[in-house]
Amino acid sequence: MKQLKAEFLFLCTLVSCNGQYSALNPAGSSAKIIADMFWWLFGIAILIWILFVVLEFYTVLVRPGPHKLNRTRFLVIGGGALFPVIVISISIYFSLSPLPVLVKAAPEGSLTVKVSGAQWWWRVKYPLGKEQEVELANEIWLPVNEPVQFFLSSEDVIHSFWIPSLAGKIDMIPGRTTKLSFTPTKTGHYRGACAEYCGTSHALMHLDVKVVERKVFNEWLEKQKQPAARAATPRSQTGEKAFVTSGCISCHTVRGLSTMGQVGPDLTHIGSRHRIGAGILKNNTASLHRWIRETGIIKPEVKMPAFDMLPVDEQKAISEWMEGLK
Amino acid sequence: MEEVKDRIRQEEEKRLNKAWRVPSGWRYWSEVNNSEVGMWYTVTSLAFFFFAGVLALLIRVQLAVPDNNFLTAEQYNQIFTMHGTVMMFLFAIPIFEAISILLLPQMLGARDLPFPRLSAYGYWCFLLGGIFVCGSLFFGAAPKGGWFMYPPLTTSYQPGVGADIWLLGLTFIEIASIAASVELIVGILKCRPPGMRINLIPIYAWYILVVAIMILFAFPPLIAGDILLEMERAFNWPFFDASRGGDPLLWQHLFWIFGHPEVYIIFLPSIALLATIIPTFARVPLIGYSWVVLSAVGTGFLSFGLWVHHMFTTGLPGISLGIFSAASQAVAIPTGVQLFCFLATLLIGRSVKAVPMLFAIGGLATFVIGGLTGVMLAIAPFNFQAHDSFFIVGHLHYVLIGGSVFPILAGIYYYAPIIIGKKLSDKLGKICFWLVLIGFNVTFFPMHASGLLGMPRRIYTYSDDMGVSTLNLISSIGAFILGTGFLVLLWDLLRPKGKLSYSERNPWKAGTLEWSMKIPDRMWGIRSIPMIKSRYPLWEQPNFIHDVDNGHFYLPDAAEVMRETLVTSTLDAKPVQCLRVPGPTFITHLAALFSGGFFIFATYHWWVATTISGILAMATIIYWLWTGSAWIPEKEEKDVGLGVTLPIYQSGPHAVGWWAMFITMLADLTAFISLIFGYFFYWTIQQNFPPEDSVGPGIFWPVTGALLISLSWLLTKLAKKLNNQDKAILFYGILLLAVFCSLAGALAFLAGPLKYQMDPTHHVYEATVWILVIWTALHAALGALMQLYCMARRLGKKMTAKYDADITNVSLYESFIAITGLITAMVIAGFPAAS
Amino acid sequence: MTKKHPLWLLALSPLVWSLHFTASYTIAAIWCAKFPASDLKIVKLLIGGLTFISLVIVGQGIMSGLKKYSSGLAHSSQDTDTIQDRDRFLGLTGLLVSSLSFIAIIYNAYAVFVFGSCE
Repeated sequence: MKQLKAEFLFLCTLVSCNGQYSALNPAGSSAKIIADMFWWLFGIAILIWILFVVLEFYTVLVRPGPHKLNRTRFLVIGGGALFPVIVISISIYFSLSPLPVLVKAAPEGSLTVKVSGAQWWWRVKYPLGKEQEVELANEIWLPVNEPVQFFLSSEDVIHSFWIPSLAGKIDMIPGRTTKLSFTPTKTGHYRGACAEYCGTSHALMHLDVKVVERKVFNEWLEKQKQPAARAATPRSQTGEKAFVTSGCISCHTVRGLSTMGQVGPDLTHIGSRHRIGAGILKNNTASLHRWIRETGIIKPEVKMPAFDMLPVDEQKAISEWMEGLK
Repeated sequence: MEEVKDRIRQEEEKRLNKAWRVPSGWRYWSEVNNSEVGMWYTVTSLAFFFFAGVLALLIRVQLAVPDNNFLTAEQYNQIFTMHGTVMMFLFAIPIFEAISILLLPQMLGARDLPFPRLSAYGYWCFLLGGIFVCGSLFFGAAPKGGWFMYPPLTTSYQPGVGADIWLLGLTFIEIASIAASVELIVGILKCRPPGMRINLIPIYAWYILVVAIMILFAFPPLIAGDILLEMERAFNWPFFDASRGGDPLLWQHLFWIFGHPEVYIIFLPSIALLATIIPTFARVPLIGYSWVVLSAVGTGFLSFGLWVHHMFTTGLPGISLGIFSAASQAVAIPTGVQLFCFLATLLIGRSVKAVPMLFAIGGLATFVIGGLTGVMLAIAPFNFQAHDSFFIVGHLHYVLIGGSVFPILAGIYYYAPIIIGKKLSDKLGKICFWLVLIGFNVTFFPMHASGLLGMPRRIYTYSDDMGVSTLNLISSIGAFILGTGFLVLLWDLLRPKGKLSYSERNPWKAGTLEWSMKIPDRMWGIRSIPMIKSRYPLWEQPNFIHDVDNGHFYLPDAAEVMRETLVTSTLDAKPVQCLRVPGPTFITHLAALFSGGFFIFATYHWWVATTISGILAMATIIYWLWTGSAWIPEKEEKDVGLGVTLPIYQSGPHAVGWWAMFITMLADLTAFISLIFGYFFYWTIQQNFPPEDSVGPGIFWPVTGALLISLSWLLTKLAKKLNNQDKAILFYGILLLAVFCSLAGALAFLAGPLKYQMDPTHHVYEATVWILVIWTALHAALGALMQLYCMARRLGKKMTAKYDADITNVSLYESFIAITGLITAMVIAGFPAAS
Repeated sequence: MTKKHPLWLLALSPLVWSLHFTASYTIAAIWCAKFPASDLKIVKLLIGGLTFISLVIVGQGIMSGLKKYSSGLAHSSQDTDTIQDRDRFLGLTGLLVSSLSFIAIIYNAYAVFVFGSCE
C-alpha cells in the first residue's frame, strides 16, 4: 500500500499533488480521514480491475474443453455473486463508520465562522459574542489544532463551500443553513473554490484560507475588528474621497468610513488579503486598478459595474488607498 | 405438386408485399412500420451524438490551457449545458429506443410493434424537439444551467428563454419515451412467437422489459419537476423560492429520482447488446441466463433507491446519507453478476475474432473502471471531496462511454448487415476501436486526478496556480484522438457502399431469431411467425430457416392484404389474437406538429397560437384514434395457419389497447404522486404547513369534487355494461350524466381555492394546492372528452355491444382519475383537518 | 400438475425491499426534520420492526423460489421449452431476486443503526 501510494505520489509531483487546492494534501482532520480512505479504495480498485481484465483475457484466449462447465459455475456464482457481496459488505462497514464523525458538530464553545455565498464571492463573519460580529470577505483564517464550526448559507443561488485540503464540501442553499466542522491540523495557506455551478462566473469564485498558530490568529482577528486605517499619503486621501463621491460606499462597507454598503464585500481590510476579486487576482495596486476599470471583463456578469468612466488618476488613487487598508 | 406449392407461396408473398409495402417518393415519410421508424430514430440519435461530440471538443479546446479565451463564459456555459443535455436526452435515451424499435420485433418474430403509429409520433416529436433545442445554440439562446438545471439559478437568475427551451425539449423526449415504454412492454409481453415462453425470450428482451418499466416510474417525477419549474418561471409560483416557503432541494429530489434510474435506463439496454453479441461470437448460449435476468431486474429496482447520492453534500442528516450510501454500494452486486456471466460464456466458448468483440471487450474493461469509481463515490465520506469536481466527470464518462457507447459501437458493427444490408469495414472498425479506446482513456483518466487536486466541474476556465494545467492539456489532446476515432466511424457509416455486395444471410452465424431474415430484408419482416422451442432457434431447431422461409409457420399470408401480427399470452406465448396494425399515415406528423406547436408557442408566451395549436393537436389525435384504433373486423376470427383460428378483436385486459392505457396511466399516476410528494416535502421541512397566514381550500369543495369524479367513474362502468346489453338510450343517458359529473367534479376542485381566494404566488402552500387541483381538474375534463368520444363512437357505429374497446379503456382511465381525485381531496382537505 | 405462476410475483421481493427502503428513509427524514435533537431510538425501533417483517416476507420468497427451482429432475435445467423448465426458471430467478432483496434490506437496516443522532 505504501509503495503504491509512493508511486502515485511520484506521478503526482509531475502534476503537483501538493497544490494548495489538493484533497490529497490533507491539512484538516476530515480531509485526512477521507484522503486515507481514498488511498485504500484506489489500491483495492486497481487490484480488482487488474483481476477483471486478466480474467477477460484468459476467458477470451483460452481454448474450451469439457471440464470448463464447473469452472463456469464457479465464475458465475463465485465471481458474480459471492465476491461482490463480500467486497460490498466490507466496504459498507468501513465506509459508514467514519460518517458520524464527519458530520458531527464541533464541541460547544468552538470557534464559529459564518460564510454566506453570493454571486460570486464569499461573505465571512466571525461572531464575537454579545451579538457582535466581524465581517470580511473572501478570506478565512483559522487557528491550528482547534475544532471550528462553520455555518453556511446563500444569499442568492446554490453555491458550495469547498476547501479540499481541509475538509469535504458542503452546499450553501438559500433558505437553509448547513454546517461543516473539522479541525485544521497543519499551518499553511490553502485555497478553495465554489463547487456548485452558480452562474456565469462560477469559475471565478475562489477562497483563501490561512491556518496559523492561535496567537497569530488572535492578532489577526483583533486587527480585523479595528476600523479602517486612515489614508496615509495625499494620493490615498484623494482615493478615499473618490471612493465616497463615486458611490462605492453604496455597496461596500469600510468601517470607519461608511457602513451602509451591504450588497458587496466588506473592504475594511482589503489591503491585507492575499487575493482580490474572490481569490482570482493577486493583491497589488495594479490588480486593484484593473479590477476597478475592467470589472465586467475580469468577471463576466458581475454585479459591480466597471468604473472606467472615472478619470484614470482617480482610479489609481482609489487603488492605492485600498492597498493601504491593511 | 411442387409447382402448386410454389404458386401458393408466390401468391402469399404478393399479398404480404402489398400489405407491407413502403410508399415511395415523398410518401415514404408517412411509413410507420418499425424498420423505417427505427432506422430514422437511429440516424437522428447518431446525428445528435455527433453534434454533442463537437460541443465536447469545443469544451476541451477552451480547457486545454489555463485562462483561455477561446470561448466566453456565456458561450462555454451554454455549450457545456447543451453537451450534457443533448447527450443524455437526445442521444442516450433515443438510441436505445431506436435500436429496440428496430430490432425487437425481429428478435420476437413479430412483423411490427403493436402500436406503430405511436412510435412514429414519438419519433416526430423527438425530431422536432431536438432540432428546436439544438437550434437555440445558434441564436445564443441555449439553456445554461447545466444539464440538471438547479433552481433558484434557473428560476430566478436566468431570465431569457434558455431554461424554457430546455424544459420544452424535455417535454418532447418525455412524450417519446413514455410512448416507447408502452410499445416495448406490450411488445415484449404480448407479441412473441408462439412457444417462446418467458424463460426463452431473448436476453435483450428481458433487459428492455425492465428498462421500459423503469421509464414508467422514472420519467414522471421529472415531468412533475418540470411542471413546477415552468410554473415558477412563467407565473412566479414559488416552488423553489425559499423566501416564500419553497425549497430548491425539492427539485433536486425530483430530478434525481428520475436522474439516477435514468443512467441505468441508458446502461442496461447497451449491456443487453453485449449479452446478445458475446454468445454469438463465443458460439455458445449465454451462461447463467437466470443470473443475468436477476442482474437486470435487481439493478432496475435498486436503482430507484440511490438518488440522494447526488445530494450527499446538501447537509441532509447523516442517517439519510448512510441509507443511500449503503444502497448505492449494494447496486454493484447485480451490476457485477452479469459481467461474470459474460466472462463465463467466453470461457466456455471459443471466441471468434471480430470487430464487435473488440468493442465488447474494451467496453467491459472501461466500464469496470467506471463501476469501481462509482463504488468509491457511493461512499459518502469520499463523495464529500469528489462531488462536483472533475472526478465525477471522469467517473460518469467511464460508465457512460464504457457501459453504453462501446456496446452501441459493437452493436452498430454487429447489426449493420441487418440494418443496411452490408457489413461495415473490418479495417476501419479496428482503427476506430483503437483510436476510441486510447483517446477515451487519455481524455478521461486524468480527470480523476484533476478533480482530487481541487478542480470543480462546470468551470469555463482555471488559473495555472491550481496545478491542473498539464492534466487538462492531456485530456484535451485525448479528446481529439477520441474525436478522430468517431470520425473514422462516421466515414465508415457514410461512405458510398453501392459497389459493395450485400452481406450473406446470418453472417455471424448467430443463433437468435433476428438473424433469420433474408438480407436485404423483405418489407414484411419475417416470412412466417415461427414456433419457438429454444433460446437459440437458429442453432437448436433443425430445419428452422427452411420452415420459416416456406411459410410453414403462422401468418404466412396476408389474406385480406392487411398488416397483421400475432398477440400471445404473457407467460407461455400461446397465440390469442391476430392483431391488425395500421399502415402509413401523415396523421402522426400533424399530431407531432400541433402538440409540438402547443409547447413551443407556450415557451414564448404566445398564448393565442398556443391555444389554437393545442386544439388542433387534440382534434388530430381524436381523428387518429377514430380512424386508426379499435377497428371492427369484417369477421370474428381468422385462420392464422397450422390449423389455429384466432379472434381479430379484443377488448378488456386481454387487449393491447387496454394494456397501453393501463401502462400510460401508471406513468400518469406516478407524476401525480410526485406532486403529492412535493406537498408532504414542504410539510416536512417547515414548522407550519400550511403557514399561519394562509387559508386552505376548505373541505366541502375538494370532497365534492372527489365524489363527483368517483361517481363519473361508476357511471362509466355502468355505461359499459349497458353498451354490452345494447340498451342504447340508457347508455347515452348514463354516459351523458358521467360527462356532467366529470366536468362538475373538475369545477368543484377548482372552486375550493377560488372561493378562498388562494393566491399561488403568495406562498408555496397555495401554489401546491393549486397545482394539485389543476392537475385533477384537467384530468377530469379530459375524461369528459373521452366519455363524449365513446358516445360518438357508438353513434358512428365504430363501437358496438360486442366491440367495446373504447368504453372499456375509458372506464379504466376513469378509475385512475377517481383515485387521483380521492387522493387530492384527502391531501388538501383531509390532511390539514387531521393534523 | 401446473399451477399458475404469474410473472409479477417476481417483483414481490424487490417491492418489499422498496417499501422497506422508502419507509426507513421517510421515517428518518421526517423524524429528523421535526425532532432534530432526537437520539433516534424510536426510529431504530420502528425500522427494526419493519426490517423483521420484510425479511420474513422476502425469506418466504427465497424458500418458495428454492422449492420451485429444485422441483423435478436433478439436472435442473431451465433452458428447454417444457413447463417444468419454465417453472424452474421462475423459481431460480425468484430465488436470486429475493436473495438480493434480502441482502439489500439488511444493508439498509445496518445503515440506520450506525447513527445515534440527527446530525
